[in-house]
Amino acid sequence: MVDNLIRQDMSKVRKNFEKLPIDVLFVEDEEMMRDSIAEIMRRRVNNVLVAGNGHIGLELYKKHHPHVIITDIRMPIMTGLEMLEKIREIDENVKVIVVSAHNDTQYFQQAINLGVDGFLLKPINVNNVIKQISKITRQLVYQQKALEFEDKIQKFNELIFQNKARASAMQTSMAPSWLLSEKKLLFSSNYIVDERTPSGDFFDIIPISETRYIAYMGHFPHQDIKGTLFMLTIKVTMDNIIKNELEMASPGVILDRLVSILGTDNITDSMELLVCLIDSDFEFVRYAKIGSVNILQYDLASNSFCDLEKAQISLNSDSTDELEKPKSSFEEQEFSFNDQKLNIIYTCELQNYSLNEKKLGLDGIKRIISEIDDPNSFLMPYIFNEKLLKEGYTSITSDFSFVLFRTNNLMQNVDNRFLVTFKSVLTNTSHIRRQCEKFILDNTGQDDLAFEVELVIAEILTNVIVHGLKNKPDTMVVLSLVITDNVIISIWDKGIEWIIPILKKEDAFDLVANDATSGRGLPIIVTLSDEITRKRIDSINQTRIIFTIDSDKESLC
Amino acid sequence: MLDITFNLNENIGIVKISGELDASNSKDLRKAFDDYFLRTNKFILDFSDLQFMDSTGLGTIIRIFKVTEQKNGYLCIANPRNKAARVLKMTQAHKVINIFETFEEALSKLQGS
Repeated sequence: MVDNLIRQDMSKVRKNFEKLPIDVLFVEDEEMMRDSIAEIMRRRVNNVLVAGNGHIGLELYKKHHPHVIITDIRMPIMTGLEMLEKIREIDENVKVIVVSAHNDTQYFQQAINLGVDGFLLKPINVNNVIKQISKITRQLVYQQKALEFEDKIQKFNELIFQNKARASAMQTSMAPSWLLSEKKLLFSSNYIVDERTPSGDFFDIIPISETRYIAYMGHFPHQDIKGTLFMLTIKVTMDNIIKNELEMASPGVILDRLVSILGTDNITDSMELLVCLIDSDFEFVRYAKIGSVNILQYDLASNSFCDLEKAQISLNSDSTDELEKPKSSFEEQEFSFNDQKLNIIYTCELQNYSLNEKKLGLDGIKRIISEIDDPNSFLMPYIFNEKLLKEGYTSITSDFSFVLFRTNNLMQNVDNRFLVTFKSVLTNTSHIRRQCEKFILDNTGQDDLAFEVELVIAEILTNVIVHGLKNKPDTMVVLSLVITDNVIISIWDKGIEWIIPILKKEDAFDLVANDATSGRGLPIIVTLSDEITRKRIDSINQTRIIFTIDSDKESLC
Repeated sequence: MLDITFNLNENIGIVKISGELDASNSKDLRKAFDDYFLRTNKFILDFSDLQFMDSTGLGTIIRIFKVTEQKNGYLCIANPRNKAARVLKMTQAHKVINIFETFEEALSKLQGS
């Protein structure tokens, strides 16, 4: 008995959960069949209206405008087809499924002329009804999506074709600035990517202005593009966007689809999506925002930097066909990313770091990097930043902020900073938690604090990584744990920092208590998530969650 | 990382949860209870080998507890240790769920009821 109740209970939940977001009008004169079928349909769709003949059906249609009409043909007062004829005068597009008996075949042609989306034979099989409704719902959803995309693309087309200057500015704003200084982007079309092409380390769809761009930086092993830095502009159709669920697909898959749609000839003719590709066999990328990405490479073997000017010249050499693969030695010899070289991508605004109105400049940056003992350390950008601050440089802008690493589960402990990088597909976080706990314990000797940090990190990982990023592959996350007077936990994913409201330890655990004991089974930070926002990083110095350490305990570090 | 075992002892379901209960595996526990609820509505959650529990884990336990109450059943926690015990303490979960220091205490409470 109880078992049955439970089963009923569970099946109700399941069915409620799967309800289709549409309204159905069901017109049928046989009362018993009508009611029983309607009853079953009600569990699966948002709303079911019923009518006993075409006349009532028509009135209900006018009043409620359901998404789908399922109608019998032969009925008293007004037949299904008469009703349909009148409805078609009002709406040509409403979805219609006609139910008929075998001997109704003489009506079929008429029904087809009226534009029906499906036939069902009597006796009605409910599963078939649901199948047809599901199919129609999918069509409706796609139509809606298509309309939305069409709208966006239309707007962007207007930008492209009516306001070329603005479109050009938009494109320019996404290009590496040192490439743009020569007003010459490297466009490439002779690449081959397929579904085996691995996706990159970070892949983001960045909303810019009226439309959405894909910004992609990642790994492309193909010879034609290996070692190149280029931007690619591609037209994509909305069908393609919908079909391939662009946001989830790997860049390799997307590019492959794009090429198959467009052919390889004129991909620069019009632009609806802009893809920024940077080949990356590199160990890490310093990345702030696409708009001002710059690259500086340090060759450990020769202890020197690549010659940026020379690189630029070779990129912009007088190649008559710039769509050919870049043929200079630049990509392979000077610019191919490998273990032997330190590759730093930094924002050009870095050069705006100044001391007594004297700008740091590129030479200053090179000097500081060369003074760092272990420039291959993946903490390099942080060390660099701290050196700048120590020397008294202040920044006009604060874009210098983010590191991204290829290596999964990389942990490094330098001075009082503990960094962890991992892929967001990671669901079991115990290893990271424990390492963080150990770090705090080793550095402070405070068992309670270590436990609380571990717990908070568990919450952050759950919320930001598992829930927030929804376990998207290709997202590399950096978690930083710093002990100063406070313990500071910060978290980034691919150039986006998660802003978690500053939270005192006591408050945090109140929330754990309230939320957990409420029985909703939701993790704490979900309670805070209204306030959690993501934004492009402004500064690595922003504090997120602060644990104040009792002042009477031994000092840290 | 999470190991769940179920034993039925005179209509009392003894659910031993070992390892770490967090967001990555809380669902497993909830699903397991779909089956356990078909067999009984009295449970002892044996926490003696539970190493860690986060708020998702605790939330799942509370949710299961509430379902048990709806079914006029009974659920308690026995022998929490280490970090799991600290989480229970910190969140004052004992105000909601009966928590016993030992398994035997929990069992005698249930057998007495």
